[in-house]
Amino acid sequence: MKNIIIALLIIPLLAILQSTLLPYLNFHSTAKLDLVLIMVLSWNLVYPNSDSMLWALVGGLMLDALSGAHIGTNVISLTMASLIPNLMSSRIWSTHILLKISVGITGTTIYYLAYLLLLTTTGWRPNWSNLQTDDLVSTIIINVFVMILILPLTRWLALKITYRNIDI
Amino acid sequence: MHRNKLQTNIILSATIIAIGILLLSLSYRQALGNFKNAISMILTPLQINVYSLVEPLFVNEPNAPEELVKLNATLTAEIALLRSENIRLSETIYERDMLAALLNYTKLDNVHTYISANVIGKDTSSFLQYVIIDIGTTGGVQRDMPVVTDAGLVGIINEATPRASKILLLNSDQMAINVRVQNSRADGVLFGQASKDLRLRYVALDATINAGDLVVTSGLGGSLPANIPVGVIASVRSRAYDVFQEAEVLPLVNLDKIEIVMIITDFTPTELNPLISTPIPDDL
Repeated sequence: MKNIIIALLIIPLLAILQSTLLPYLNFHSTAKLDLVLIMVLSWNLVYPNSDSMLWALVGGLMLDALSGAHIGTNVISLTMASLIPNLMSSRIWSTHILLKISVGITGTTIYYLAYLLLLTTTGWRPNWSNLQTDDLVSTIIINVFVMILILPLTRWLALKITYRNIDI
Repeated sequence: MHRNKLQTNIILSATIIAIGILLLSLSYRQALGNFKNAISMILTPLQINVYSLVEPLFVNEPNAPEELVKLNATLTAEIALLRSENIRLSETIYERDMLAALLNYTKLDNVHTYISANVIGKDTSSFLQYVIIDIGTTGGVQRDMPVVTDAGLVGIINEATPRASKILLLNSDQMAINVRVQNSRADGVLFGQASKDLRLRYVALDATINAGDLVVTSGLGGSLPANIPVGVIASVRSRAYDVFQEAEVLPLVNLDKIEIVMIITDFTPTELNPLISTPIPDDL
């Protein structure tokens, strides 16, 4: 329950920041930081509970509400992306840098592939020549970098949720 | 234990994806209006507050007193009105010649009424060209209304909730506008591109169009009022063996840096579908 309450508090704020603050921060051409995506991936990595999949639902709804895409596009894309950390993560591997990097890369790639596929299915006419690979690569690098930075914070938050007093 | 957890996670993921597909199909059929309104009611006030905090950090203009901001909005609206009037007068010169031949010609007055609105957010996806403004249906905004700045056309209202609206920008892949090159009177269709320039297509091969020519809306199709400035031709591609000419058009509005827009509220798009003839059944 705490997990969902935290999602409902954090995710809308991040979605709004993604819509208001991030467009002003031009990292590299059209490459941009996907704040909600990396938060959902990070959370599923440090707290691979079944409830954590609901972060993808909340995040997807918020992103869809602030986007011209049909509602459901981001819900499906984020859920597919967050399956990777949720299923891969374990207590031994969750702190390993390689896992963080691979989750960032695969999560962002799956998210974008699913997103573009759904946009095309729902009538968006992409000009594929405008979709540049180096923008996707830049986006992946930015996402992985920020994900590594925020992971300690999400881990701390996850520990706060799972903390229980033991009576001796 | 671990297997049970794995199964639960997979079942939950499949359920969320199924919910997503259901929402997607309902949204595609435009049956989620109330749902979107509910989310918008929660997000818009937050978005306005966050934007008001963020904007001063990135907008280079110094903070102005409230009266100056209001005065600026009024003057911007006035400039748009004068620009519209100027274009209308230019058109009138051309029309005068036509009227000499067409005695029964009548022309509607095309001076518009505007509502100004602040941009409070941009699309969360880099693939879609939308901006969000702080006025919705309660402020008189409706779907398909044209949106302009003092420089020219910005886009059209694509979605309106009670407190916010989404504008589909000119450079969106979804956008196609009937336009006219003002000097040559050549009609064409302007297509949006994710890159900054726009592509003008279907211009007759015998029309004379040059770099620097102003492109305005033609009003054909009834989806936009005529004579709104859209862009300037940057380059022309005309080959003898092509059926049509093409041109690259630079939008007059800097679509990356829109802060205040004006919505034309007195224009009702014409629904052309009833005018399209239906095939006559064979048995008649």
